[in-house]
Amino acid sequence: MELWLVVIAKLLSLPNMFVMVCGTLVGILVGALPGFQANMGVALLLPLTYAMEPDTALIALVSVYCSAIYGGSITAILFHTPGTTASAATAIEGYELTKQGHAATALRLATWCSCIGGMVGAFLLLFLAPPLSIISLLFGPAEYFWIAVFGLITIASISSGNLLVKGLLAGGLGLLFGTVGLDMDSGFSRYTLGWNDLDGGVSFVPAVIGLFALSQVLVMVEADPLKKWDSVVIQDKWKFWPSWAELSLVKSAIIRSLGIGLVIGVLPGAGADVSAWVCYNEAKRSSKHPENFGKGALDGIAAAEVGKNTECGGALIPLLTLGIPGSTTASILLGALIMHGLAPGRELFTKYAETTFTIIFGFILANLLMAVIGMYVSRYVAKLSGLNTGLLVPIIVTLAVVGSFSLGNSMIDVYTMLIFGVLGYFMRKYGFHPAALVLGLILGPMAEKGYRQSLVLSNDSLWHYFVSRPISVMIMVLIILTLTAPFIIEWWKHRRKLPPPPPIEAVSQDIS
Amino acid sequence: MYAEKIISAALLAMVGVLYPMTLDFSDGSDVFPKFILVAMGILAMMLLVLSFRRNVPAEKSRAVGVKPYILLLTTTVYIFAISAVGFFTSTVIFLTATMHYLGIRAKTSYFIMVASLSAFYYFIFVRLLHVPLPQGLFY
Repeated sequence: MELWLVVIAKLLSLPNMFVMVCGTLVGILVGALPGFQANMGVALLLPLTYAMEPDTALIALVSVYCSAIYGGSITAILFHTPGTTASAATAIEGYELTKQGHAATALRLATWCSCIGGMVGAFLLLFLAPPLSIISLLFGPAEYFWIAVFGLITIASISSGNLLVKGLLAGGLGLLFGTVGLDMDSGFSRYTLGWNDLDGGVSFVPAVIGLFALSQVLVMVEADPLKKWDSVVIQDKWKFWPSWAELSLVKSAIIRSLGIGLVIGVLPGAGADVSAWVCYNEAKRSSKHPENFGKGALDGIAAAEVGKNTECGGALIPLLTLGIPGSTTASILLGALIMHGLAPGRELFTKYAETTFTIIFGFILANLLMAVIGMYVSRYVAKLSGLNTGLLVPIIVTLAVVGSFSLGNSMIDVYTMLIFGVLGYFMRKYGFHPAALVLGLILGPMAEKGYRQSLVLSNDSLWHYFVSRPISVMIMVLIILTLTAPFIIEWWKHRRKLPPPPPIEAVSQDIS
Repeated sequence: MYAEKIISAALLAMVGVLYPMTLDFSDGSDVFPKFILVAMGILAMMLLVLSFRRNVPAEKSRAVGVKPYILLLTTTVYIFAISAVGFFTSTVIFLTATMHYLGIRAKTSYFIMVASLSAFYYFIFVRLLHVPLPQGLFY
């Protein structure tokens, strides 16, 4: 009881409430602006949180995270321009409703469904993460090695579309970058080329800022920098709360998407856009009126919104319990945890229980705040049409530079950001996803440590050691299934002579 | 298709350069890099083979123009200029130049952007977070 009282007191403290409100507002704006992604917003905010207390910093970041995922739906509905790739499914149905004069209905439903999904995901995080963290005590070097490989393969297969080899190459590049620096056991300097600054390895946060923020800026200027949106008039009556009639129309879609969103969130590497599309497609498949999809189907909006925001909470479960990020934005949050001296695992729920539960409750409250602020802000987003790329680009670049510098007060981090920004841009141009590289950078050291410790513990009979551990075997089976599933599905479709799925439109190729 | 061939070749060249370096690594520290490099070599070969086998006509690449590359160049100059002339001086010049290049013409936009961003960075990073932003010739 004492723990909960302390947690509530910390949560309701002025700094935490202030950053929660600011983070929610910033997140909604970041998500609403096309070109900005949730991962970019969190990456740019990360250096600013360095001087904060751990709970305040993480509350700010998770508030931005969940709000940015929702914020993309606003421009998706009003302008058919998803602010984030996770809102691409919402754009299909939401914009149709806007054209029919029902923008307010679409915005209201999207907002509250995001809130429902986010809060359920957050409560599941609260109830599932502590017991699951006990399972992390059963994880040894073999399990950490295989879970790192599983995470990498999952993100590689999801991010690479039809060409798995490109995703694996991007992940391999990330693993290679992860080997730069002093070796953990021998202290030998690997690939540092004699530069002492690289002894500590490649700095993760500047690399992420470069890969997601700077590369995105370069993609943004490819389009017309002075592009403005046509103004949207919201014709139907603005109501704050959704009606019971509206919610009962979409209740099946909501319930189904809650489960799907949680499962996808827990999968390492899968993100909000995967969750949104799977939930949308499932809602269409199960709908009694699938012909309404594409013409403003409310259950399509509800399914996508619930799915993507439930995923946010789900993604934090493997992050906090095992240190495996459930999405690329969660991988940036992992960097934040480490930056603030919090190691994922059982300790988070024992030694640092006050901080961890403050963050989780902060996440729950942020989802509610997101809906309240979203309902007030969303109809004014049309005024953002004055902000075009010519104004946004310099802001993002200078923020990326100063943010990278502030981490270690060193220009080396800024150079790292620049190099990874260039790399990220060309990777995206030629179909190699930066998300796989980021996960390789994070999971590489974990995988290597697990592998080398397994080698020592196994007395050179490594394979026997791996297969003698049940959890290790389970993860290996999951890896094989992940690698073979696309081929099995293609063979099955070919056998049944099913038509190919329609192409999925997306503004950019990022995974949130 | 050509891009994939070039990328595959570049990756194979990278593996060819980095793998011999692992021969000088100490025992134990060479295992993981060697494994990754061999795997990447195999994957790069697969990509090269796939790029020859896929009989898809070369996609008409989207006309992206030179804007991204100009922005990249100006960003690089900006970053290297920070150490020479200081963060705020180089940032003001970068903001002005980039906005002009990207087509912003309203003078008030320049004034508001430069003033507000400079103030934001000063108060948040220098005063609040005590980040010693580089000072150069001017400030």
